[in-house]
Amino acid sequence: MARLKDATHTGELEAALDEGGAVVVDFFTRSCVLCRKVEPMVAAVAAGAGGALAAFRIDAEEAPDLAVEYEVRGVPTLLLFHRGELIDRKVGFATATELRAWVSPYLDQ
Amino acid sequence: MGQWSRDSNEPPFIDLVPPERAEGERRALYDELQRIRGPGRVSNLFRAYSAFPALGMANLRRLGVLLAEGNLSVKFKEGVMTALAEANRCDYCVSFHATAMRNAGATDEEVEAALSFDPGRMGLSEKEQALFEFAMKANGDPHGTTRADVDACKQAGADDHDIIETLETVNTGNSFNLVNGALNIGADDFLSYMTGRGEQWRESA
Repeated sequence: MARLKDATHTGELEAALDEGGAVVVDFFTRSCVLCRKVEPMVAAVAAGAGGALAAFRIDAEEAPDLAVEYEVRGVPTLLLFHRGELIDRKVGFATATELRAWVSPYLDQ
Repeated sequence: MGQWSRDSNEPPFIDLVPPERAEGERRALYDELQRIRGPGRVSNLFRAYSAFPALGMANLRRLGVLLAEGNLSVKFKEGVMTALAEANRCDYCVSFHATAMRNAGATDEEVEAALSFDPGRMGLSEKEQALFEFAMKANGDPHGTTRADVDACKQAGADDHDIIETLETVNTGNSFNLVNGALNIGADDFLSYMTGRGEQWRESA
């Protein structure tokens, strides 16, 4: 898998947060070069985690309300949620190895 | 056939001259390719480069230096280029470099690990794992790397030669991905491994 499910307009993020598992949200814009670089990394980590990690992307320009709600001030911004709570954020590029280490404490057995 | 991202009937955007029509400097480039890679192995990428034969020959020699004269394993370098092809969504490049990675001794599982950007499962030495991670960072954001990233490679046993060799592997993979993507150049007829990657990307888009 090379792309994330786009949840800009679908409401899937809210549903995933209600379920309570680990969730990564990738706020991006279409003109952002680093966003294109980091998305495959996030997608690979999510694919490798099986069903233990849900991952979505949200276009920050198409969903400014969500960007404001989650205090996204630049892209790419990755948000990590667990049990519905925002745990941490990363701004800029990150490798898949870094992301695996980032999410691993929150992957429920 | 072109790249996955375009209509399947869309031909490459420049003429890929087949060996039977090659003459002069182009013929010399194709002969050198077949001398190195074997009969019939005139890849579509180098058919494109043959529009500028001297540059094509220089690129072929540069690739030969990178793969044959470096310190690092071919499996590592083809693994880096496989990962870059996945990140850049070049389906031709995935098939080409995954095939080369397997020919260099990688298992199917190790090829899959490269496609998942997971150096710990690629059957690499500790040094090459650190260099793979550095390659991914440099590719992701070349101005985001730090001295600590280089030091991590050195602590794993890498020297400056290894680091330059790694970065040139990134450059090489990216340049091939760019040419193939920009000119809608699809996979070679002689490739059969990992040829359906584009369909998976299309389904997940």
